[in-house]
Amino acid sequence: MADNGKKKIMVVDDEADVRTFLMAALIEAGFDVVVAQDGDVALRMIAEELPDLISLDLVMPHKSGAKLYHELLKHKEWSKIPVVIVTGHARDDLGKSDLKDLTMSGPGIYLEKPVKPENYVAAIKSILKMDTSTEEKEASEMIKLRNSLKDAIDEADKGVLKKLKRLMENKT
Amino acid sequence: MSESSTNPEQWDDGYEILFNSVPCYVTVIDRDFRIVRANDAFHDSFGYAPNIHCYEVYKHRDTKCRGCPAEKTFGDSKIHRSNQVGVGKKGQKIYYTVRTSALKDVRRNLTHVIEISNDVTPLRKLEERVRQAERLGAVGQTVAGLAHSIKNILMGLEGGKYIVSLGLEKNNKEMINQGWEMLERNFDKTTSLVKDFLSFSKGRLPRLEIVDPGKLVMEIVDLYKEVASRSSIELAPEIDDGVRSAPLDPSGIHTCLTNLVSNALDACLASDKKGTKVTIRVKEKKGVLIFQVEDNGSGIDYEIKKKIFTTFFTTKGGGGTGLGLLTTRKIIEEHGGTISVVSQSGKGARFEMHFPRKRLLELYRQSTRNSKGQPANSK
Repeated sequence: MADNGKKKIMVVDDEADVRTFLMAALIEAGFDVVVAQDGDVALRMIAEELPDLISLDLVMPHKSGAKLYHELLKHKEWSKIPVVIVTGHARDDLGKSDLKDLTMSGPGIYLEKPVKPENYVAAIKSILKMDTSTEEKEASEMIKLRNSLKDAIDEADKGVLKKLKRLMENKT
Repeated sequence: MSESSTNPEQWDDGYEILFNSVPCYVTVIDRDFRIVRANDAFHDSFGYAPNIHCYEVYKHRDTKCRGCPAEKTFGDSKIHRSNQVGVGKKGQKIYYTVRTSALKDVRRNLTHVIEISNDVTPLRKLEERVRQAERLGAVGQTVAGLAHSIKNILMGLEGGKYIVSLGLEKNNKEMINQGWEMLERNFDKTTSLVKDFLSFSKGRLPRLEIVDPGKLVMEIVDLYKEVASRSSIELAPEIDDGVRSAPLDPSGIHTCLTNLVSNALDACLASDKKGTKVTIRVKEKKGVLIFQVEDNGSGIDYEIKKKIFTTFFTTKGGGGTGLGLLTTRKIIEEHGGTISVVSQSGKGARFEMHFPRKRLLELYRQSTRNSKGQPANSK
């Protein structure tokens, strides 16, 4: 935690516009924010001062989000830092394998780009178990629901889905 | 062997049974290319055919086929093979591979040729299905990649929109400007994405011309020397003496070299080192024309190396569309060449394009043959 009592969030993303965007949303919500453009820089900063939460992109030069996450897990203190993955690669081959590795252990949640600022802040507050407004709670519940629904569809048998669709069409 | 056994028109019953039982098409043709004998398998697929020209029966043609293997065997007594497409008796397409061998009489005169063919139609159909599945797979991958790029742009637009509205709320002009710039940048990204995407999807055969590879390299050096020197990066051409002219698509190779050199310059900029350098080399090795683009910049780590030739993969944050290296590889492969990369994180990278001369020459002959009779630009 930062000296002023505010929670400190580290935003790691290789795109400057994304960093600016997420930082603005977090500052607006009353967080302290530091930014890093890749995993290497992030690690150096974490070694100096621990953030309360890391917002992480997956595909980046130098050190990717997945690599950084694995290094965090190796370290006793760092492995407790909650992580929010913000990625555009959640559902394609580039990010999928990385993501599978990540969601298996450690605290965290993933959000798919593009994110709405209110959903992003709500997800972070919910992980940090901060007091959230009913609206924010709903938004974060919504994200969780939506993610689990997307995962279920991804993993569902295509044949079963087709049958289901036919059934529903017959009903209406 | 008795005289009668070498004369295909006078075989005895034993040969006849054997001839009719083999599981492939067997025909015997004379020097007029008339079928004097054909086995049952042949009759079943192509119809009855005594004393008719082989090309009439196999292909319903009036003249000899191009590259006829039987003709070659009549010429040199050797075995020849070729892949052909014929027409069956029901009008169906039959893909077959044919081998021809010499049939000589007792005085060693080459009087006939035996043609033995295997029907490979099921195999061809399977291959076609596999190719189609691959094409569909590639389309799926491309669409997924495109969706990802759009998601990234949307993220930028979302951010710009948010910051502009924050700025308006707080009456903060600096914030409004910042958000507006983000919006502009991401609109521009849409334009360059569409442009790159279109140029990638344009499937075309390389337009081969005989060009001097060294000259192509010098054009690229001229193009980039100013940008490089502004960032104090040395840009050095190395053209080996032994490099001869080659049939290449100059605009295609220009695109490849541009992509590789601009990547190399980016890698130099991303590195903290002093004395960064990009070398563009062209040389010749064992019948292979080689272009190399080497830099001592930031290098590529292993994880990224696995992905660099993948559609829409980019590590350049906002700067890249992720299509450069993919387009480069596509152009090189259209030339019958290959691309490879040697790199270590932090130690620079070397991209190599290999063009086997034999393959270039084949493609060149093909393209000059195809361009006869039809204008180069016709679709």
